[in-house]
Amino acid sequence: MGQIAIILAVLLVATEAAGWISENSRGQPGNGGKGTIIESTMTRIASGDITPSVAPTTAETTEPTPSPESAAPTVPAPSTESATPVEPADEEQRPKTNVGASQPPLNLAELEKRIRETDALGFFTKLSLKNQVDSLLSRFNAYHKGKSDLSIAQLRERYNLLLLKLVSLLEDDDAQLSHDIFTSREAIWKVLVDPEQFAQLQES
Amino acid sequence: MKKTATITVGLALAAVLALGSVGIADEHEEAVKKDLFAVITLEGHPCGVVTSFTRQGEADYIVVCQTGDRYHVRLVPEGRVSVQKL
Repeated sequence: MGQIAIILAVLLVATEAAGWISENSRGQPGNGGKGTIIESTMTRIASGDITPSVAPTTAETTEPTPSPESAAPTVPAPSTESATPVEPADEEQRPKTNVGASQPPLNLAELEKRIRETDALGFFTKLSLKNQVDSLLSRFNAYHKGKSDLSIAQLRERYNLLLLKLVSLLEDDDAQLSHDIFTSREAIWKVLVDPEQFAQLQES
Repeated sequence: MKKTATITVGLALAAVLALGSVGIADEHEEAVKKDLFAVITLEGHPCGVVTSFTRQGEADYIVVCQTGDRYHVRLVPEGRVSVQKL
């Protein structure tokens, strides 16, 4: 009789454990709806419902010296109106993680390394992001050589969009990296628009 | 009596392992779905939610989305991801 009770108890525990694992992997509301934010954000990005929401600061208007767009107007701020719900917002509005706000910004090499190492992104996702980063870098390369058909404002828009995708994808499963990327966005942008720093980046 | 107890414990452990492996497989499937969904939307296609997928080969999937769209997601030789609407 005692043995039957033990078997039943063990099976009960095992069933509970299996249910817990299954529920976690599905991102059920009981688990805080894990994954649902990414899905809704990415769906909205895909459908064009939202635009880049990383609002440029004054540093963003810095024109690179050999700009072929010297007559171009200053960088317009991308529309933040429709993107407000998914915007990572200011650092103080991101209470999810216990992150160090005073950490130095990531450089591109570190960023690449951490994206490679994170478990928050799958194989196809990482590869697609790499393709998009390479594409953006080739556009910056063309820009610095004066052969780009895109203005600095258009490049900034594409940069913002790619950054938003990345931050959204990482937000749930690697909030630290998501935060670090968000806080490093201006430092990375400065490297991209500075002809000398960009040339060094291409050489490395 | 001792033999019965050993068998009982053995059966219980087997049950735990079996149920655990089901959970791990389920978790892996969800991770693949999440990856496929992310890459489809990253490439600018509508999907909603990935409802099912079929693995065709190494890094080669046929994906069915909630929207009814079907996609062929695969790694192409140039090291790029191809997302083709079917």
